[in-house]
Amino acid sequence: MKKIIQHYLSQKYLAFMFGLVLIVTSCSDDETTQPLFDKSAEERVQAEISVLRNTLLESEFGWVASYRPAEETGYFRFLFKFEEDGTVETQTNFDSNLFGDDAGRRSVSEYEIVQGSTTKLSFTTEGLIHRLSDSNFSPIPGRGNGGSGLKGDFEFLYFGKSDNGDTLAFRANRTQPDNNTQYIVRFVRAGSESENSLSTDPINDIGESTQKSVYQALVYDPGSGGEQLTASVDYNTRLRTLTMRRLIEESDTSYFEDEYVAGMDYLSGNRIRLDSLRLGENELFRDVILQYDQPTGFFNSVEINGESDSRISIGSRDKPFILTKDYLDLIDPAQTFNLLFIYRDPDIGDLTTPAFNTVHADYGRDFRLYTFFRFDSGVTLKEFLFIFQGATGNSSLLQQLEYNVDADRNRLIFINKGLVNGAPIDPSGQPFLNLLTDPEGFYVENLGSVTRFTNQIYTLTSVSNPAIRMGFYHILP
Amino acid sequence: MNNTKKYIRILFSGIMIIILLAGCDEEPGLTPGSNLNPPPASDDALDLWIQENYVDSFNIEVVYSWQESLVDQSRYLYPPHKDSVQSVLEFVKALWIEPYNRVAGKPFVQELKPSQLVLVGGRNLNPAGTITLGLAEAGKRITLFEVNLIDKSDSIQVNRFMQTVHHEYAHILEQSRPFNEEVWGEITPEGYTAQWFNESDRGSQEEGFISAYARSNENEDFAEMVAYMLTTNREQWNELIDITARDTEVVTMNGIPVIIEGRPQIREVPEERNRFTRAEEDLKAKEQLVFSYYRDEYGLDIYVLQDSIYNATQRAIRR
Repeated sequence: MKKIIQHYLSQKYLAFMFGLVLIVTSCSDDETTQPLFDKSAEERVQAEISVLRNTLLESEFGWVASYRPAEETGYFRFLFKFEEDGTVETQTNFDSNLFGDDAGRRSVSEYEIVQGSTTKLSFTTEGLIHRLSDSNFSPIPGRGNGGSGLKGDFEFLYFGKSDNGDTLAFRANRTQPDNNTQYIVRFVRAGSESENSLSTDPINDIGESTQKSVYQALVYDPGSGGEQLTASVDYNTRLRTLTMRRLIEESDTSYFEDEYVAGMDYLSGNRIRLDSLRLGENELFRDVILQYDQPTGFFNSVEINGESDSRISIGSRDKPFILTKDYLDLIDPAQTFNLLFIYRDPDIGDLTTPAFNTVHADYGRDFRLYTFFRFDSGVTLKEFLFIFQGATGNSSLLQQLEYNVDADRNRLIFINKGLVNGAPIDPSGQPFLNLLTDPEGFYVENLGSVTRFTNQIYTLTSVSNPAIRMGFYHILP
Repeated sequence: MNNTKKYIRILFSGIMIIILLAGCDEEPGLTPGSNLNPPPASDDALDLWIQENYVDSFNIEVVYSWQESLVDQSRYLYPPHKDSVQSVLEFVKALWIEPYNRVAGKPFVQELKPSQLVLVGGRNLNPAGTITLGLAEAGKRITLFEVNLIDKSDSIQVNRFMQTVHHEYAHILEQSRPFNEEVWGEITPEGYTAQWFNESDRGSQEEGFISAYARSNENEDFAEMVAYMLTTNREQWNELIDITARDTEVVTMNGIPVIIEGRPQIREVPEERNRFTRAEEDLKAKEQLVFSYYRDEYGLDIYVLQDSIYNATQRAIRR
């Protein structure tokens, strides 16, 4: 027996036993080891969701967000009031220019807070915010943007709040396909007066200002005797952007710098906030606030970078900054077969200004007006064709025109040569014909291939009334 | 001696096992609560209606509240307005599920159904300018777009929407029991094109396809035939494929897609007449294949189904 015990207490066996004891003691209850989380994953997720839900609910007047969905757009304002029952009332500063008068500016829909890559606020049934993500309303120009709506989102990832709890930071859930960016959206605690901040006054101010002329100039006076800067300005009220191109004037030539696009944010009190302006090679000004002055039709800066003697004014001028000879391509049969004008065209309809409506009757939604300017034979006698459809009945008028070129003043002038088919002109077409044959003529500009189509886009702007501009598709021979 | 060694080995091993087990006996318990909590039953009126009319009746889940994972995130889409959902689902039930079941004389759709209907509020406009009206995925899910845009009193709009439903359900059927693609493909082999969106419906019919989209491939051709047959009555259908009766065409100017109504140009050249005759024959051949497929694979008479759906549509629009 002793031998047996001695055998089992041999060195080899003792090592084995020691190992076993180590294994066993490793399983002992060690009170110094604490679980990493005191709640389950599900409980922690629910807690995060509750925090955001309670935060959204606790603001009596809701939350205001000024949301810029993409770099091609400006800002759209929302006032959200979240309710316990999962509904949210939304008010906006959408205007009829965006979605028509019937779009409404108040909706009730549903929301949920769920866990995605982080806690996510999702507007789960249709309300006003979804208008920014409607493939069927895609005003952003350029190829590849068809069906992209305003590139907006209605799901937002929560990233936290300010120390005082009055600002919540979100990122749009959707990543922009062109630059892999998720736009930041801030919800700011609303007050009793926040509804008044959903102003659409600036859209009327812009309309009033541009009714004077399509040629809008920005003049920057840095004060203290600094050099003034001039730029051309174009508003896009569907995208809520302002595009500026700085004018460089040298002794023998003038040209524009590359364009710079600023996002517009409509404020109450007839004011606009521009998120940024590039007013010099290295001068980028942020949050420039402009006030509309009704008597002059100018927007004037309230303050720029805290400098009281600097001023920016934006308003009308009566002729282009640079007179082009783009009309030469039109009258060259090798370059142009005709120009096509389609009233309310979905792609270039915005180029035709509201002032155009003063020279022809608008017969309503079904009305179509097609016009062909035909520059096809290399002789001076040309023609254009009205084609009316819809409320006027189906009819067409073939009108002959002759053109003259005023090379000194860079204008194209049409002269009425009567009807080809001898049919009496529809009286409703006469003011349009009068405009076309105005002896002062038109400024012609080739905008290039700026739509989803390959056609060059041309504009004709009335010299007598520079508020009237028409946009045309250029058709090659 | 050997036995004694063996017993001692067993004894030591047993002691070790007991010690091992005992060492772990005070492991803290798991945190109570499931990580897969089912959502609480909804008391929302719409959800209850869906539960009763789709989930309980047909075992079809309806998703109208936005779920990111069910919709293509590269498209700019949005959920339906809640007020639009029930009326659309009533149409879908009355003009798709019930006629199939009625004609089959059994719960046909329950046996061969998509498990999920996903509703999207707006239009799915593609970058190329085409519109996707619906999707059928793996025979299990149908996604329907434009739920917010339908005027339920407008028979044309309702028919267009239901055309999508019947189109997608035709895919569910043919994904379950394939039709004879080889025979089908021999009818109009030259007309299929990836550039179908450059074609018009009318021009495609004159080439033996019921719509422009039917030209994309044989499967879409089949589904389009079913969809058009089930959203017309016999008279309308026969008129639609009576290509030889046509004598006008769309007018274009300088190649620009301008349609001038009321100014048809009549082309009576013999070649056109021959082309129209051939197109009509092709459409009738496809119609016959659809009829045979429904009869042989599912025991359904598609003409009876056509009548049943048409009558249901008339009743639904009058309501």
